[in-house]
Amino acid sequence: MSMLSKEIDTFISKEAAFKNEHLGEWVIIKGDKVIGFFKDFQAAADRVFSDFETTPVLLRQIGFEPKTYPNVKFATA
Amino acid sequence: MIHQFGPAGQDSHERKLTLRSNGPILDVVAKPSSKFAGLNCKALIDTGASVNCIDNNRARKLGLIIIDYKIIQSASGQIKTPVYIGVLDIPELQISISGQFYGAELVGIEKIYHYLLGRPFLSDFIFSYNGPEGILHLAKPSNILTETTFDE
Repeated sequence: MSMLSKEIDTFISKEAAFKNEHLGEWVIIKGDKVIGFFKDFQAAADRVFSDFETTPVLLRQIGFEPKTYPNVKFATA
Repeated sequence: MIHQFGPAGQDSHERKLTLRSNGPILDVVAKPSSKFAGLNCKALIDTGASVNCIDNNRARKLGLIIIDYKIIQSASGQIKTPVYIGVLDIPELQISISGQFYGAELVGIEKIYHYLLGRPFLSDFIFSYNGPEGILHLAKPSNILTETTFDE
């Protein structure tokens, strides 16, 4: 099982409810627990830095992220 | 205040060729959070990128926190990549920003940059690329607008 699988499953299971009440906000999830909702990325980031330091934790914006992204390749000299 | 960056060159012709070859690259100091010491890195500004990226090896070396996994569409199919959170200091601008950075594989022999700063980064800046002079400018909007008024 990959890292953050439980957190991502929790997000997916609650996504519809999140969209109804927190569209556009950022949510932090650890395990199956919702740590909190934040109006902007900086506030959420500060919480991650202060409370989790080196522990992986899900931080995701609600409702605005596409399912997939185009591939990115770094150029070389 | 507008900050001017450009490759170290003796004249505009040399700067022009260096900028054309390397691209608009910034010197940054990367760290897991503001509490940690930083590591000097290079960052390429890329207006074509919809996300900010970091080389996965550099992210692991810095000890960045993983905050998500995302599906990336590649020519050979879909791949899952980590998303990190971290802090970038830009000494020349005297600013520090927090952001999310998508993990990417830096391919090739010579690594000339570790970060790719896309439109999420540029959404907070005014950026200009002066190819003939080999110079790029980066400014915060508030610094510009205080000097400019518009009449109807």
